[in-house]
Amino acid sequence: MIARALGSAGAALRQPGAVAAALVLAVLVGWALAPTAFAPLDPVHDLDAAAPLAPPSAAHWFGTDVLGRDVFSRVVHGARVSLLAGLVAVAISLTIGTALGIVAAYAGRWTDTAISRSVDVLVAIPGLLLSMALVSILGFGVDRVAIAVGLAGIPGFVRIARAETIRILSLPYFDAARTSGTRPLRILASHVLPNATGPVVVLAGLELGGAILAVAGLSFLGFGAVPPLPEWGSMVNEGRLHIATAWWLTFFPGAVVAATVLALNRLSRNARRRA
Amino acid sequence: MRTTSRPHPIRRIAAVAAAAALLLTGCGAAQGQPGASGEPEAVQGGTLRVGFGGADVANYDPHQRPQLFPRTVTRQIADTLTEQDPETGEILPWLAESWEISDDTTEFTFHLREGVTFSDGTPLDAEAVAANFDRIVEIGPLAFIAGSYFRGYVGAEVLDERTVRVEFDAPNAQFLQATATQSLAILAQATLELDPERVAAGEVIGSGPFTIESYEPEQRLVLAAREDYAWPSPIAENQGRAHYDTVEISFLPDATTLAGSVQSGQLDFAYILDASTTSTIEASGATLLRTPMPAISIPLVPLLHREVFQDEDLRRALSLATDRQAIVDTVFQGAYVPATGVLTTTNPGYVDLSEELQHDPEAAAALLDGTAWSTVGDDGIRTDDAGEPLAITIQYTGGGTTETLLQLVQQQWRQVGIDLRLEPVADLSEFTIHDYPFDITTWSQTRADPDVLRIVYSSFYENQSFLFGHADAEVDEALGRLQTTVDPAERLEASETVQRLLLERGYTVPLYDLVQFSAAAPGIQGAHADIEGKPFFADLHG
Amino acid sequence: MTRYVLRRLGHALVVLWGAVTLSFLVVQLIPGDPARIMLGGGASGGEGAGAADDGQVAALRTELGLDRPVLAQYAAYLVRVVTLDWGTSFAKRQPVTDVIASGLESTLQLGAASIALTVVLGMLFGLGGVLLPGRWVRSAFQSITVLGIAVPSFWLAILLLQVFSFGLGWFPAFGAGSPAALVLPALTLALLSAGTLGQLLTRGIEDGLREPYADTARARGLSRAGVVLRHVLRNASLPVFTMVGMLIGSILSGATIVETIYGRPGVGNLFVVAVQARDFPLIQALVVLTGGVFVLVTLVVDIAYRWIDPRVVEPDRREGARRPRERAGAAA
Repeated sequence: MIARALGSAGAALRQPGAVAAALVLAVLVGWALAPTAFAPLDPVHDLDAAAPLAPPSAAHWFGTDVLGRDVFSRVVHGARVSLLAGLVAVAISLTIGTALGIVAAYAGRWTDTAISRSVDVLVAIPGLLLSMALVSILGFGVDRVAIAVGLAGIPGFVRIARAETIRILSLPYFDAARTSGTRPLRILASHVLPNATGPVVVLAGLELGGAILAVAGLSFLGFGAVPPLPEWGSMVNEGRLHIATAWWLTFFPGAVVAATVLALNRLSRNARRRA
Repeated sequence: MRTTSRPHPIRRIAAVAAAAALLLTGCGAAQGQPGASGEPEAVQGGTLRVGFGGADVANYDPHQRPQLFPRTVTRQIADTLTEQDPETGEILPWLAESWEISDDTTEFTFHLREGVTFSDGTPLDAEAVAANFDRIVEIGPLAFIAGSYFRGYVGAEVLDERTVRVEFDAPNAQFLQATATQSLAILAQATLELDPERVAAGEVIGSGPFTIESYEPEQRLVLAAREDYAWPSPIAENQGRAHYDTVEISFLPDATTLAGSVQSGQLDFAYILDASTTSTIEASGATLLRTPMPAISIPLVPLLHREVFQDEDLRRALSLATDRQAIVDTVFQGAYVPATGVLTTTNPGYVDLSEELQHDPEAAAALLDGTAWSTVGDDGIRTDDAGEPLAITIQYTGGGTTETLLQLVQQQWRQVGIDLRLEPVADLSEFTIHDYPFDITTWSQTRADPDVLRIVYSSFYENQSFLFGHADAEVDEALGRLQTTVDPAERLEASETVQRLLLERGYTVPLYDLVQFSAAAPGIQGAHADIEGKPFFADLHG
Repeated sequence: MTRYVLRRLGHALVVLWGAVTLSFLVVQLIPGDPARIMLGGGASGGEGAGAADDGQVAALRTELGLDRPVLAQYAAYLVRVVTLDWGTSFAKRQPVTDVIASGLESTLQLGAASIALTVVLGMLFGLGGVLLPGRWVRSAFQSITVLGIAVPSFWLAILLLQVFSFGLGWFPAFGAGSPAALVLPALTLALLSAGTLGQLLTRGIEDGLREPYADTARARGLSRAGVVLRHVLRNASLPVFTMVGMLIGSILSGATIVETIYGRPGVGNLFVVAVQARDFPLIQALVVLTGGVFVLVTLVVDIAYRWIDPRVVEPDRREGARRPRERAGAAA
């Protein structure tokens, strides 16, 4: 056990990128779980009327916005909004997508054709556009945007779950299970699901980054978070008017989105390499 | 030193990696303005590149459309009977050399200037003026604002080629100032005969210094100078044809792009800048035009058909809970002015009522303690006996500064226990004012006459006047008095009565006076504006 | 080959039909009455436009055929799609076909410019990842190039605009007319996808360098760079074709935000406007259009790829993520 831990620590040292990514993610999760522990000020109610649009300083790491709110505190609190929205989106893609993928592979024939062709259709419409079309049905708001992004992310999971299931179904031990009379649902639960998890989890990590980007983009366009809720994409949009005089309003929220997505991608790719 | 634009920028693409250059944006000191002295050449030719900061309203029939962009285009392509002095608000002669008004303010006789022609060559005579006024009344609801100036219109009588008499069946004192607005711009007969939709689409012939050369909706509008123009407004500097040959107007809904483009030199003139961008513009060496708008002070208006606003004390408490100075200082970085009345300081009906608009959260709380929402909950929000929170919902569009403003008001009102809830939407027009399913709204209406009160705060106009269906006899009576005299002192007295009533009864919560900003790029001379801040493109030169 | 093309064509038609059906379902799925929403959302231009009265709603329902059975509506919709009759856009108050036609040129220019720029940058990134001296330098270079995947497009667009247009004044900030106005928006889009392309290329080249023919070339005295440029690059570039579908998707997605920020009147900006105004006729048409573009481009690319390299597995059989390099590596 200890040797294994030491081994992975050694591996980590050889991969400074992955360590940095893990650190970034740990910080973000900390922000999301206990924002008040990290953020000095309330993101909505603390208005520092004396210092609106103050540049980054020791008191305000990321400066203050037009209303004198601490940008760092808003970014910290924004982690909860963005990560939660991303997780909701991926949870939707993952459950529906994986279920459809396994069903398609397992049932085969018409069911498979119908599901696979539907997936081809969804893939043909770029993800962000599909989310936007769905937002026009569901309405505006960060929760609805998360659902729309989640629905648009289904095809990737269907494909990977279907491919994995087909692979597993062709393995010898599966034949053994079937000939010994195990019922289909049991086979799914005991053989297919556990074996398909790896690639699906890797995809989920990548998709989480994509979902956070998409939610931020849609919020930037004004379809998502309603102020004064601190959300990274809408913070960039709010800061835009002041970019010539107060670059920090735009720069920091955007940089945090980029760092988040980069960290998620890096760790997912690492996981894939190991798997 | 600013880096000037280069003709072949693609060569420089290799430098793109220098993303850290983000921090370079402050840009050094302003450049000197070459050619700042000396008389402009009569005709300098070339194209003036103008940016309008907003989406294209896409209706260029001046009689139809009351919004600022079309009014500004109208100012370039058509003329009006009178002009208004931007400093004093006094009415000056333009197409009308002189006029008489009957004592009961029901008859207005205008004597027209000689030698004015429309760009199609037809003369601008009494016949043409009468036809314009008839048309405004004929197209009815299409010409909402212009039509409201013609209440009780009996007709326009052509007395001779250059004299026209307009008659009303009731006193209509505001009509004189109305003839100075672009809503009553005089258009050629050929235009009046067209289907209003075609006029809206840009088929407008006027007698102004420019004509519309081409128009691609939402893209660009190109104006061409009229060679024989010789009857400019009394406040215009250029008394002949425009210095430039053409004016190319682009529509830039993005405030950052508008400001940045006048800095970078992609635009010669930017019209209506966001207040937050003005400091950067000035630092770049551009000439900033600042026009405090003669209008209503931008208010939050409690909607009287909403259950929550049946309580007058609540409506009044809103005003006391509002810190106008803080709004102006933070949201608008001092570029605007806190409201000191229902009308703005440059409106001829302005009265200083600042003592009625003090920030006094304690008084607000005391008022609210006497209402149904007397208990303050743990979250700081008041509730009534049934435990329902005191929540007020506002729908708004456009984000940006509006959103920042509402977030600040939200925090201010929270101090006295009122929960202002924000609901951003793309489009507000789904409902009329009177069955609007939200509690409070904001409004903007510009007119350099106290009569603007009548349109916004009377009970006269459906879906346009906030007291419609909730008439206040005293308010309407005082508004009526505005019509019976052209005497400035008497009208001011009536205006003050109306404004005091509106504030005392909590019908409106004025917030700030809108100041309109435009900018001429470094090197562009001759920038000035009329009383509503509309620039004169014919006066601009390099 | 003919059989493959026919098969592939059939598949494309099925997907296209699916996209049309999906766009039909979009309006069917709106909670509430689509006619009422359309009337409400579309009245922005009218003076004193009131709430839609029941008569107007009924008239629009009849016009849109919403009062007929769903299947009849579907059949009528298919006919309208085939005849390119998409109805009237509520936001623009013009026929949808005209609205889209007005945005097409601008987006095509942007698309072409950003694809070209993506390929150029992708090549540079890919070669840099292999040819730069030193393992650490290469690794650092690769890490920087993949930043594009993670950077929000709106953020990048704003920063480029601020620095190179407002700050330095090198490029115009708006306007669809001049080639110079195309540079920043195209660069924004290219930077988002060039990293992925470069990665794919780097991996392809690295694989190629392990092939016997590379050793042979090397034995003849060619330098590493020489081997890569003369022999390996061509084969390693082939699988890049399969990325075109992804590239089109990323450009169309990115165009929504980039066209909005750079004030370009293209199809992407139309999509944003349509969603803001809940302009369903326009949304329907744009969904079918983007789906159609994707289907067409992937069809052409797949057929071309098969023609270049006949051993390609048929697309229907390819599952999960595409890994073309496994097939193309040995093509010497």
